[in-house]
Amino acid sequence: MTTPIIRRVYSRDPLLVAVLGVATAVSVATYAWAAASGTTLDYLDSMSHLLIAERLLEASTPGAGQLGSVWLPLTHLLAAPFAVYQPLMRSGFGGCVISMVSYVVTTGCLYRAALGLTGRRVAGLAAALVFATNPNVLYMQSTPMTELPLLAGASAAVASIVSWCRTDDHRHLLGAALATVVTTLVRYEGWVLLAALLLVVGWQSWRRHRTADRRQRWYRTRADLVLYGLLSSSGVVGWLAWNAIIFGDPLNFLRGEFANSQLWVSAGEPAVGDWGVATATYLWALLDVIGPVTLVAALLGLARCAWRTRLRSEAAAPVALLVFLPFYIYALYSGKRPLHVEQLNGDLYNVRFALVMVVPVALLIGYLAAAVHRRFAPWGVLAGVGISSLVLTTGGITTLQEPQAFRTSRLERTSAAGATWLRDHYDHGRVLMQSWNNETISFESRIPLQKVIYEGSYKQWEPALSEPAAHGIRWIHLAHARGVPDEVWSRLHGSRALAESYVLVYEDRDRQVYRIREAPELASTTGGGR
Amino acid sequence: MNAPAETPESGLPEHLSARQLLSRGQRVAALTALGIVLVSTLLWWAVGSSAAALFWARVWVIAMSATYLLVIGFRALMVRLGSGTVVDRFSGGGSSVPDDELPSYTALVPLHREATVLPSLIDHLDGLRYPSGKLRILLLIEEDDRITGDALAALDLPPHFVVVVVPAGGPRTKPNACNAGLALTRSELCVIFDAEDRPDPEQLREAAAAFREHPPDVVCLQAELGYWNPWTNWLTRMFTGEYALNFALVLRGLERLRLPIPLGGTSNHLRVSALRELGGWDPYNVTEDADLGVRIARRGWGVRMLGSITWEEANSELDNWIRQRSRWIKGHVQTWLVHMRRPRRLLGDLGVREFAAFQLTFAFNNLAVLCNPVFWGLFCWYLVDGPDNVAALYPPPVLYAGTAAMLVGNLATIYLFMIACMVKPGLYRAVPVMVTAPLYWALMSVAALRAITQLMRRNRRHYWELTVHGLVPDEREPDSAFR
Repeated sequence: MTTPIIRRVYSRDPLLVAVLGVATAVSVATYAWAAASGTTLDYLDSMSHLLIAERLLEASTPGAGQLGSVWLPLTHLLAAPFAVYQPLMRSGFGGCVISMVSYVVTTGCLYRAALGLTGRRVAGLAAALVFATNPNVLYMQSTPMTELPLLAGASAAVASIVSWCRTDDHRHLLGAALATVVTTLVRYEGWVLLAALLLVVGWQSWRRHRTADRRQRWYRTRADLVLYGLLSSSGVVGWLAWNAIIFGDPLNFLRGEFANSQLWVSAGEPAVGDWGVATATYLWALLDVIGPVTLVAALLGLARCAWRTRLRSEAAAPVALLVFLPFYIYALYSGKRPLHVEQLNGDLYNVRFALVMVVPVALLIGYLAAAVHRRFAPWGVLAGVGISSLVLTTGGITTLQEPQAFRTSRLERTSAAGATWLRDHYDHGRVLMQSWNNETISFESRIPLQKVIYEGSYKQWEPALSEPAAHGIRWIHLAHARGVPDEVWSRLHGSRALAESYVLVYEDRDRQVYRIREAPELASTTGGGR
Repeated sequence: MNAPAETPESGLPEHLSARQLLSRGQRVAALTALGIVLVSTLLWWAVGSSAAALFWARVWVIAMSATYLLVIGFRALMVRLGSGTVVDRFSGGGSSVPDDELPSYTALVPLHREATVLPSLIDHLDGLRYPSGKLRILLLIEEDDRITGDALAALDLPPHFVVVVVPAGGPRTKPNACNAGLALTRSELCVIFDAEDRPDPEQLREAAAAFREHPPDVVCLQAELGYWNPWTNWLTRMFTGEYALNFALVLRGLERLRLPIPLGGTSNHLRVSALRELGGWDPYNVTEDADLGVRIARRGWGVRMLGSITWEEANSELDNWIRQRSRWIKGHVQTWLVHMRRPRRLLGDLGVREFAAFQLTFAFNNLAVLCNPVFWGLFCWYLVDGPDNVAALYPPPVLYAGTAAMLVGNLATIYLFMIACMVKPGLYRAVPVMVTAPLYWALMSVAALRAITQLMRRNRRHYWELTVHGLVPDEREPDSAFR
């Protein structure tokens, strides 16, 4: 099945096949390095994603109802089949493989888009290389995070829009719509992309039919907008409907219990309410993640693109991706999302938000590469991209430094110790434990998810919180990390139900673990147990 | 000029005729299936166990979800293939064939109570650019159809027009009239036109040129059908979108894969010798054209699409539309039943791919339309009553598959209609309306229920639901109408 497809692509563009082949090899090698160094699951969110995916098949109440809250569902759905063999999920491979495939897809799409924009293969090669050799991209493609699928969807959408602009073939417009759906179901940045591309489609269609009379021009533009817009917005509409059905509020992902931005944006965040700091923070993040050489080259590419095309026609698509810049600055300013950089905050937090800009940057550099004289083109591009990646790598891989710093924090070390204790002492029976904010414990303790009663256990969570022993709960995990008690702590700590039926078997600064009293007494340990 | 016809006799063998609804084997199979359902239901009542009934209900839900996805997937594939197909199109209207080398042609035009559209019809048929010495147009009217007869008598018909009176006696259907016309046909080629048709003036020349290019086993050319009044109302917009989908994409996809093509009722150009060898049309089948397409495929012969367009009037009244659609669905079910009397023989005649395409086109498609209301009912039940009761029918995997089928299926249906409007330059304006395609499907379900009800009743089984034409004033040219 695969061979004829490869042959067909090869006959059209052998360089594309080579680019995809090299990208695949690099992807596998980088994942192997990350897995060997134990860094694939360094991000706390990576464990959350894997837990949700696994709960679709394996949970106290498995099923699609596990999807929801603040996370968009597509990556979880794609990773869920790997849950049939638990080691694939617990090693992180089930999620990483989606990022790896996305990495290869993005590389190919950037090549196609830049080639379509300029008509020169060297531009495609430059765009693909800028993306594929970025050390931050390479690390993120070795994690089960959602950044790479977003980049794949965005680059595929742009490549298709470029093709549509060049050919007026509605099939490319459908391809763009499909790719946009992927982005809207992966990360909320995709919703911004949808709005930007709707404008591009409308603008391009209106311009294209300028020779038609006004009424026909409107009909054509409207037809293109409906063809693109209906499918591309179906993910957003579907998500609103899902939130309404499951949580009773279509905007639950915005207004729900775990969607309050105060949960992750601390008071006194310097970027909040200050446009200057918000802008500087994001620009520093860009420098950290994409690198100064690459950014300067992209600016030159933008200048060339604007000068040559006046941002008409297909050039509007990659330029539309720059919308992420004001979007993120606004998100920081309004306190919707936090982002910390060493230069301003003294630590790193969510610096990966800058990664999405690598797609327009790569395309703009492709535009610049098309200006290089044919005689020097391939070597010039290779040398340029090589130097910029080297410069970036010498400063360290920022997107890796951030979770590594988190992992060595006191809080996380305590969680890891708690997880190790539970992994060693959990024997059998149901466990009452909130999932939110206890991801490390949930994931690393390796307690079978069918045994865990948590806030997503349909019709079981509340009864178990009220009367744990009567509902067959054998273990209870209470947490108050950073002094903030979780739901189990709030409801059960110091309660009669706990004192009468359970015995404290483990305690550290952030948590307590109780086990039902009928069981043989365990030796209590402190600081790793009590 | 008037010519009486003899009582038409179809040369079709009984096993290929829809005169009997079911063969003996089919009756046994139907009774067995009914028995299983009844026994399950009785068990449910008698023993109080819902297991058996629930099992069959689940099987049905799973089967229907799969059917639904298969039908949509198949149509999407045909659209994908159809959009890249090159059809027979001859610049200059096939004028590359000199007049003296053009074959003789007969146009068969069955008419029944069509007085309103007659002047326009005669006008357009007379406008066909073909040597009049080589063209005969047979206007086929029923013996007791005074309305059309009187209207024709009042017209001054050109000499190559012949009014043929079809004697009473046989089933009062279009194929019966066509068979009467076929008996009087002496030409090499023939074509069927409907009363409201406005064929492209070059169509006969194009078809003649195409037949010359193709090997003798290509025995039929289907011209593209389009509607000249898409903007009359919502129904005509949807109908036009559907026709564009069918003729500009799906049939071309079928042609590209050399799969059986359900012919489109009008503007079928045929080699007369082949048509006679096939036994003409089945007078008991109310979609005799689709049936003929299958018989051509079974014989190993081919059908090709012709780029020339015949403009028709899109049905603009709901009752009229439902009557017409119910006839089409009834005829497709008849066709399926006729050819499935000996499934193994059909498989042998067609081949595996063609056999599968036949099932998807004639059975699964109509089954999906018929069962849609049940699924919508279940969905409404879920919305009103919550998940607890309906959940018994839907174990989680079935629920997910069913929901995906519903969402993807409806979205895909909308998109197929929209794509059809995008490939027909005059229909861009209709693209947003295609978002309501699921409502149009709901109307099809109404028509399907009517079709099945009629098939059950012996006296309505072969009843030809007459479609009223001339509802929209025929004043505009198709091209201007599309603007």
